[in-house]
Amino acid sequence: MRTTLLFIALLLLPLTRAHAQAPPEPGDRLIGVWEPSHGKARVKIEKIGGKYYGKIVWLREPNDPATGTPKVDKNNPDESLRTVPLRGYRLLKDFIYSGNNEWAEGTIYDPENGSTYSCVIILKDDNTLDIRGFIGVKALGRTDVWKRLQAK
Amino acid sequence: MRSEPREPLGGIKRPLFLSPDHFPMMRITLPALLLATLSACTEPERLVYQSDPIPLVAAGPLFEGTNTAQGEWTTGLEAFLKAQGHDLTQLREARLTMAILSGADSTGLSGIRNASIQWVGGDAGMQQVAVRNPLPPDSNAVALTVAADQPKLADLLRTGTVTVVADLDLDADSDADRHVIGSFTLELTVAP
Repeated sequence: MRTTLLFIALLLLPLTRAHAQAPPEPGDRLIGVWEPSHGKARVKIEKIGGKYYGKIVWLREPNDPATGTPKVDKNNPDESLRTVPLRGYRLLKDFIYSGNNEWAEGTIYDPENGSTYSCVIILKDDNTLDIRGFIGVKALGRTDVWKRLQAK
Repeated sequence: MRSEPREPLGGIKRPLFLSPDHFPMMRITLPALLLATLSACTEPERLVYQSDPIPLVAAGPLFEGTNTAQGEWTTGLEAFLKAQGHDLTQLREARLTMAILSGADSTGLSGIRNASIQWVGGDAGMQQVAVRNPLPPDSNAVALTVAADQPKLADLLRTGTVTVVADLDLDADSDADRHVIGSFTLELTVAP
C-alpha cells in the first residue's frame, strides 16, 4: 500500500511543478541584460511586483579615476543618497507593459547629471530596445538603442 | 401694585467680566479665544510606528556584485492607527526615521559590501529609502543612512503592503539563498 502511494506521489510530482511555474507573460520579454549604445554599462532588467526595473550590473570603468574607489551616485539631488554605489544602481524604474512591445509609465535616471526623465521602452526585435527618455511630451526627447547581451 | 423693573437674564445678574457693555474688547477676545482653542484641538498628531522584522531573501545562485533580496511587508498600519483612534484616511505624512538591516542567521551581514533599500507598492513608484556604503565588516546589524527626500511614503504606506527591495553587494559567488532582515521606524503625521 505504502509503495502504491509513493508511486502515485511520484507520478503527480511533475504536475504540481508545472502548476507552480506560472507561464511567462508577454511583458517578460524585456527581462535580461542589456547594453546601452555607449557601451559603458550593462543593465539587468528584472520584474518586481508586476513592474519592470533595470539596474547597472557592470561598468566598464567601475572605479572613479579621481578617488580610485568604486563609483557612487555623486550627482544625486538628494545628498544623503550620494554614497549609493553606481554598480547595482536601479536606473530604470516602474515600467508597465502596455502592449505592442511597449513598456511605459516608467522613469530613467541619468547618473551623469542626477536627472530623472519619463521614459518608454520599445522592443524593436528580441535583441534590440529603443529607450526614449523625455520631459513632458514624448516628442521632446532622446532615443538610445540598447542591445541584449546574450542574443536570443 | 408696582412691579419691580426686571433684571436682565431673568433676575440673574450678568457677571461684570462677561458683559460686552462693560468690557468691549471681549467682543474680539472671545471669538479669538474660541478659534485658538479649536485650532489647538485640530493640530496634527505625530505617532511613532515600528515595523515588525521583515525577512528579505535573495534567491541563489548569487554572484559577486549586486543581488536583489525581496520581502513583502504587510504594514499593519491600519490596525495601528485604529488603536490610536484614527483611520488610514487621516494619514497625512510619513517619514522613515530609522532603517536597520540585520542578519537572519549566524552569517550575519558578512560578505555584504554595501546595501541599499527601496520600497515599492501600489501605484506609487519605487522609492530609495536607505543606504549604507560600505557596511562595517562582519557586523550583525547596522543602521542605514535614511534618504532625506521621501516624497511619496504616505501614498505607499496607504496601500497596506510594501515590497521591500534590498540590493546587497556581495563579495563572492554563492549557491545558497541569502537571508537578511529589515526593520523600520516611521514618524506618522495624522490629522484629525
